[in-house]
Amino acid sequence: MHIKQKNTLYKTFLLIFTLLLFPITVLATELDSPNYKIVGVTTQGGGIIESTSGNYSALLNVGSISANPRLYSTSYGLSTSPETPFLPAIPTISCFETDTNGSSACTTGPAALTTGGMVAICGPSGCYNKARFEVSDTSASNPADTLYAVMISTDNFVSDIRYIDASTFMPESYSTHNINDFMTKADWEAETFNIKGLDSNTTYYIKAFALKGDFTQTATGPIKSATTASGSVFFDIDIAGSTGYTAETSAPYSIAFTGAYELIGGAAAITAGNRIWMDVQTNSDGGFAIVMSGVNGGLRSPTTTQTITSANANLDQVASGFGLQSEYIDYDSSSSLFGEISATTDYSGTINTVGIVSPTAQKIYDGDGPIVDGRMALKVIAKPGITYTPATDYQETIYLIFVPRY
Amino acid sequence: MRSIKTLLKIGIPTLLILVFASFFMYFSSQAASLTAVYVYMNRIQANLSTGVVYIVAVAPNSSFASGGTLKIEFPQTQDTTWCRTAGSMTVTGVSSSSADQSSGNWDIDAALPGTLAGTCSQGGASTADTITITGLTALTAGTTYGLQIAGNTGILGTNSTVGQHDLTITISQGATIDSKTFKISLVSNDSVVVSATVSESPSVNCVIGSNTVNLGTLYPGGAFAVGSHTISTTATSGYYWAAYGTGNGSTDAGLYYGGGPYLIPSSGSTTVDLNPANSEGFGIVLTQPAGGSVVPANFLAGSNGIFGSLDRQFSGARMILYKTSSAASAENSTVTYGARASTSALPGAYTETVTFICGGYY
Repeated sequence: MHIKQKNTLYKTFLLIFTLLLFPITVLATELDSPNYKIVGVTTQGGGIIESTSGNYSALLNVGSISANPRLYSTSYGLSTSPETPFLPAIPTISCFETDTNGSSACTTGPAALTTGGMVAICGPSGCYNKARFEVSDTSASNPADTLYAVMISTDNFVSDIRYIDASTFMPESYSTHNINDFMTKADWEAETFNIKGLDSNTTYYIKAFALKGDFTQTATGPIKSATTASGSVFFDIDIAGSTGYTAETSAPYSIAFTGAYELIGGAAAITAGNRIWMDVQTNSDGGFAIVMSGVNGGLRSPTTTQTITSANANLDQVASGFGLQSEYIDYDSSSSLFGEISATTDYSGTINTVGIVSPTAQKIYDGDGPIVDGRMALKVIAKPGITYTPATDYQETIYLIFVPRY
Repeated sequence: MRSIKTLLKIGIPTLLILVFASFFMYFSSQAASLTAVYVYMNRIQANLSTGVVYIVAVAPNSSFASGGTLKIEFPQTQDTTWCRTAGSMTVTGVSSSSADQSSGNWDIDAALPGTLAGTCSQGGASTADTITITGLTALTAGTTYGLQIAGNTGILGTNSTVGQHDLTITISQGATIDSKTFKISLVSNDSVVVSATVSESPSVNCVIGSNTVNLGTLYPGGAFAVGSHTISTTATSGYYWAAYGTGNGSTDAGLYYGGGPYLIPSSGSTTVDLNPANSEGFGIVLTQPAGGSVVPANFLAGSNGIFGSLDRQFSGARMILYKTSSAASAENSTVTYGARASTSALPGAYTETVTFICGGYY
């Protein structure tokens, strides 16, 4: 063989060796797999599993670990290998739910959940960003202090393999998963939503594994899946009288101070006969805001060019004015996990105290969590004073904007 | 020697490539759900063709290095309805909004930092209408940032379908991606029109033509005597007149002579007929103005010698004239007093004070 040919052969060999070096390194890091913790690996350049030379660690084979003092936990002592009887039972997931409605397989959550499903605690259509799982306590009789960890995936563990962080309850990568992500069944289930930070309308797969003392981690249990709900929002405006609790009307929406409700110069404040009713429903965690703005900042007459100016005011104490006042709020409070609706301070007055209608947007209602069957009503109150020229075309256009917060 | 150099030239770069490749294999895409988000539109009415402005609050779950991008993607099947005209957007960071929750994740902590630039692009066969904001500087996990997006050369509108629509907001920088898909609601009409008629404050103007009426001398057993004056009214929305007498101050209204004492009474609750011989009494009648005014029958002039009877005190006041609509110009009525003394009447100076009450209907 010529020297040139030899050099070429060496180069090829070294290149192949260099290429092989990387996979070997990668394989070495995989000795700490999600399922096993192997200590003190010293392959020293590689070898075969059943070597008797003494130069290689048999730790490459979990099934034949030598007597290592570190394998002794407070609960178990393994003289040779972690025999199956020393491991906790492989856990199964008894419930993994996001959008159940009317019933639930979960048994240790709030009463509203166990009787009404996830819709009863997350609102319409269920949970869009969180879920609840429970570890079965019937198929295995692990001690109460057995620890569990949970794996989660969106592709049934093909390439998306994550864990649930036991402090944030959000999915985390393998790189941040550690012993602190193991908790007892009771601790996991004490959190109503023990999986958070999920994407909406997405199918998730979970499986659990157990740990009871050092080196006793089990294989993962059966996979359970659930699909998160989509966000859900509903907003509607109706115009009806003060008793229109269930009234539904169609656009266009208008309220008139005419006839019996005509604004008479110098008269006291008058409340329009009809109310602005609103329906709200959402499963958004942050509830909602209803924001309002007006075009003119009051009742304006194009013919007289005068405006009965709106302001935050008690109309009994000012010469004239115009504004809104919340009269009615109702919502489903059957679950403590549902939100509450409240009117903001300026619009929570009584008698003739009103909040401003301004071109600058103002929040009039706040919901602080998922809302079911929300219904609100606003009074429209005006006082014309004695300085405004009579006309039939005083007008204001009020925009009502519904903002769900996810 | 040369072969070793060649080896180094080939082997080391190859090794470096593989090392970097393995690095990126290990640090694969870090995707998470945004911690909090809301989209506050200035209008939520379906099918608006222009003028839509967004305020977005977004709290990333991850921290982002400078150079990130924020995208708002609309439903893929609704191309060109949200981004009505593709082009640039005016993007500004905002540190608060009316839709903020008073505390918690949905309360804007800071304006979205960076030299922000935005575009809206219209979707196509496999893309959706998208607003893209670039120029973000570093973001901190858990901080809620605010930004406002308004049209510039690009024009934002709303889809024509009332109801729920999916939006996806994504923040990305390199392999770090946080996103959330959620729904917003469009309504057929997001406005309420409040209209009002302002009218003048109602008024009434009441005039009594004279404050004294002399009936002359009444001869006991003689004929009845009469005297009159006018009352006049203008009103914006109707009026009324009522009257009551004083009489003897205790039993009845009528002409009273305190020196007797003697009372020529305005008896009964209806009318006093002064026509019969030796009759005695006191009463009034009024003419009814044209235009809808009403004089109650007991007081309506026209029957000779018959007068409406009065009662005494405010509590005994009787309606004598009214109108339920406006009297733009003065409406006059003549009040005629009639009295007759019987043969038993004592001589003397008789007087009666009749009090008129006038008011408006509002």
